[in-house]
Amino acid sequence: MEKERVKGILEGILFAAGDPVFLDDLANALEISKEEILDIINDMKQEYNSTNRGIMISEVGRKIRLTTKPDVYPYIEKLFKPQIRSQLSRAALETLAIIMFKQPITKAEIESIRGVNVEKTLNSLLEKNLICEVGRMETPGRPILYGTTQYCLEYFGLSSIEELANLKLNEQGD
Amino acid sequence: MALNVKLEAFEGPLDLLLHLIEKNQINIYDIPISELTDQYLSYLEGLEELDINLASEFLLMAATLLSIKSRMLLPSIKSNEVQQEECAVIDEEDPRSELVERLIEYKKYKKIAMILKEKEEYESRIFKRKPEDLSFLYDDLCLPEVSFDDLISIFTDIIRKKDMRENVNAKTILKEPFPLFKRIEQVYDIVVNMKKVNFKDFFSRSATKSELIITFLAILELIKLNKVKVFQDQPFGDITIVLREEA
Repeated sequence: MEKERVKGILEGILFAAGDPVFLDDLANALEISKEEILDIINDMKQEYNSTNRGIMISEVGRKIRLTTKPDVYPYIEKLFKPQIRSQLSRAALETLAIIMFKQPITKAEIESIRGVNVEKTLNSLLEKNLICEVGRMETPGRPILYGTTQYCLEYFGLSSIEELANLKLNEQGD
Repeated sequence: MALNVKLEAFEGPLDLLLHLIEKNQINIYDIPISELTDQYLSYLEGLEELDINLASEFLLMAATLLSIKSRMLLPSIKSNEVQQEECAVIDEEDPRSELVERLIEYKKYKKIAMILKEKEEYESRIFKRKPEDLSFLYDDLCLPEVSFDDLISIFTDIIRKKDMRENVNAKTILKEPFPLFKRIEQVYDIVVNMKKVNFKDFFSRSATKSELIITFLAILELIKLNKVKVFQDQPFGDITIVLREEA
């Protein structure tokens, strides 16, 4: 299939889907390899990058999504007055940071790093579907092991946890 | 101490310690434990009311600090050999090292949390579309997933609707009329043959209460084993059971 044609189809799929779409599903639907899709997606990213576009393509986890650009936000805000999305507390962010890099991890291990009880925080993260139970540790009491969800990556717009690790390294260089 | 800081502003004792360390520009690897303990305690004293849950964690750290402080006052056995170095470098015997490790690890995650916060803010400024409703493209099998609560409520519904003919005699303990594993096989066979079965069809009116329960357990078990999938097209609507394709 011609490359430009694939671009158009991908754009259409992502628009119709709204939610991020799995790379594998895109590859299946278009009957071309994942590598080719990624290649074309990268091309599209650059095209969208130019200032005369208001939407962009990004990767979250193993999914691709189509969203508005952040610099359009002030105008959308003026026009639609969107509700301010509630943000996570510092306790939630710290707990999530630990789970991201230490998963699978038990509640006791998180508590020993943070030095505080994380019961409530864990419950609210579970409720928000940012983390999930991934199993049990085979020690006495069989404590629950927690890990982050695909939605967690989508929530923060991360392509992977490694991306976050790289960001952290860059900041330390400052 | 003129500075009034509320305990709630800190995410725990480690956070407070890090704040004190940064404020006093202390080298984290060579903490003047006595000074830090004094400052830490004065923060705790500044609290007028103690929330016991919150405070216990801070008090535990206070105790740890005091314990480290007292251990450092004790003469160490090796002290003659390393006296010249004045213990400026942390060796394994240093009672502070465990705390320092914890502080450094905590600091790392605090930093990641800050990056996450930036990411979250960035994300809140971009918009995604609501997914297009494409359900009309599929046949009636494309249905939202059913939760266990839905299953249970429908089951209670069936039990309630059914006229319970069984004579309720609490003293009689019946032999299990129908072993669960057999029922699981039966239910699975039915789903395999019919491909798509209505949840209610499993519960015929003539069945006894224990049979109904066994059937319900069998369905739950099959869901747990990932053998079947359940769907419900609308709230309070019928639940459909289909075979789960092998992954």
